[in-house]
Amino acid sequence: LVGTKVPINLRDSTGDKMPTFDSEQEKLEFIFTCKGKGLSPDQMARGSDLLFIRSQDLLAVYHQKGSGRVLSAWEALQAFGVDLLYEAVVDGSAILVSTKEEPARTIARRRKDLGLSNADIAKYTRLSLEDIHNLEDPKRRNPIQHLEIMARCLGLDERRIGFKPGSGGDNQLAIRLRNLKSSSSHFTPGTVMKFNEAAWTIATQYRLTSWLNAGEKPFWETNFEADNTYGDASYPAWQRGYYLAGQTRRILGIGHDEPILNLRELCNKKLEIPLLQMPLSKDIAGATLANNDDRGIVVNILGSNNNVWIRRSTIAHELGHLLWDPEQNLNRLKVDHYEDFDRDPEYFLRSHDFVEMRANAFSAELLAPRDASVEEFKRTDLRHVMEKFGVSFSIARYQVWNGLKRVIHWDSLVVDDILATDDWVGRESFTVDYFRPESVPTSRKGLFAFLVVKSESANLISEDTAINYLGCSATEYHQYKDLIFDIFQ
Amino acid sequence: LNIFRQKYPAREPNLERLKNNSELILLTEHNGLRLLAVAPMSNIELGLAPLDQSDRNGVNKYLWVIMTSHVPMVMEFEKTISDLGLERATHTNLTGGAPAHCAGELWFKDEATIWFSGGSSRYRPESSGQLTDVVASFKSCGYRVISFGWDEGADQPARFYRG
Repeated sequence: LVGTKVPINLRDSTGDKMPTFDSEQEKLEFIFTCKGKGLSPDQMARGSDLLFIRSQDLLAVYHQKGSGRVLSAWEALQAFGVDLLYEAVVDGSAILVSTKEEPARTIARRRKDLGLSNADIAKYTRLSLEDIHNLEDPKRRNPIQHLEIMARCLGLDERRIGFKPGSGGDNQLAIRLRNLKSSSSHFTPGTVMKFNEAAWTIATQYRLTSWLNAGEKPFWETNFEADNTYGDASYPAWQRGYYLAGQTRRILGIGHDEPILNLRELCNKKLEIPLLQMPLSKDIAGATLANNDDRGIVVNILGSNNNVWIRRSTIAHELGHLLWDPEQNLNRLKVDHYEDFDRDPEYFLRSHDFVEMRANAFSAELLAPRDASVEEFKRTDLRHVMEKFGVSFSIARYQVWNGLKRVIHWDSLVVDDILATDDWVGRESFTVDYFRPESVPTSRKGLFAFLVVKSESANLISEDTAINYLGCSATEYHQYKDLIFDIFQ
Repeated sequence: LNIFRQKYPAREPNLERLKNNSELILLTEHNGLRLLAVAPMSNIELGLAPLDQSDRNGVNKYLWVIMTSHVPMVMEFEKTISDLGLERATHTNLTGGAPAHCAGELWFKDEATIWFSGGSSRYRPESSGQLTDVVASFKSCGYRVISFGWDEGADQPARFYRG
């Protein structure tokens, strides 16, 4: 170390001028080593075998080592942009965190905004109290897996954790959840975190769909416009609900007397609305949830919804909210309780809850239009109305009774059996009851899982991300990914 | 340092991402190249370690390389290197592309205290153990070393100081 002179012969110092890589295109061509091939940025990233690895603080090129999250070139580019990838490639790694206080500050703030304690999170996530404490300590480098778990239960975008202050969390949703928790003892911290996980799943499903569809907007967004009419004395909200159900059938090309055989698939595939079926607290039937611009439906599989005919009316009710209610009436999260579904319209009239009155009428008319229900009833009986349209006893009863202008005695409308038939159960509950691997959380079974597998096959996400999104083991993923793909394809 | 050199033999630089040959130009003392001496080090620019993404280079970053007989260092954004057509120095500008034992970055807090990282795409420490050993080597030369440490997730030297 002693000495000040350089004891090496100098090489020629007139070498090529260093390129400056001013344009994004040049940087991308350098990152993906495809100079002169005339590829678009999307083509370069989608076709690249280059993998990155991210930790809490760094993004680096992946070389078969490291305990962080392995990312495909596409997902790294989407999450962090060209400059950061370029830096990671040139320098070997790039600093991800936006400030030294991140991600600890965002996590602590979000947890407090939601009114959650460390113990609440420990109980829900099975992270230890020490792990959770560490995540809020800006002096710690935490495992990315812990950060991702935390991000999901707080409703944050796990890709942006540390990278962007706030990590893409919807502040209005956080306030709404905290208020719901404060106003009801039934709305537990666990329920708050379940809705946050649902918000994460919905946002992720939209992102994957958009990547696979090259950015096209979902069907429901381009074909439905919020309707601000909730009626008046001469044109009550329930009547508007019937009208909107008819409109919905027309837009979807469903005949006036045609049953909707698979509402789950209609939501997921035709309307392209994320539909999450998951266990919630037993008083909740379902909810319509908005995470920033991403709207989805959450349906409880416990309680009365255990009967898929009742679950279908819950889904249809939430569809009424999602497709037709303006944002100010949804307030980020509209939670519906079982007890409200069987209420007479008079109850909502008294309580001035025209939003619910309209959604209830919409649900019944969408699934079992009155005229068609009456027709079927006259031809057969009430049970056959239920079987034809896949609706609960109470919906069939209301539709027939109202369709017949209430001339028939209410108590005369009875059935011996209110249970759904096997064909309806098979169609509507398929993803919940038969999905493999079982370890995948219920809310991520179904179309979400298919999109994950498809995105991995298309090189849009890494296998590591796919396994993480599904919450299963690598072995299970390898064993079942073809099956998931085939079933939903 | 000799103990370190024996334990971690000199290796060729990783040139997978060489942009062009100017990254192999060997800098001279006219371009600000110096040899690191035992602490305290005189005539150096005091600096500040990086804090985050927007401040990823900190202030007055030096690159260092442990070569077989000496430890050259240079400020990454030394003004005179632009004469050579370089935007900034790289570790191979300290070696001319010759084999070296290890490389990284440092910032002088004072003449005997350095913030220290193993950040290098060409000769970076290959394990946390190697980083620990190179830190110990610098300490044995009289420096108080504030090491950024090892990032287990990325399996790379950390690029800023959290502790």
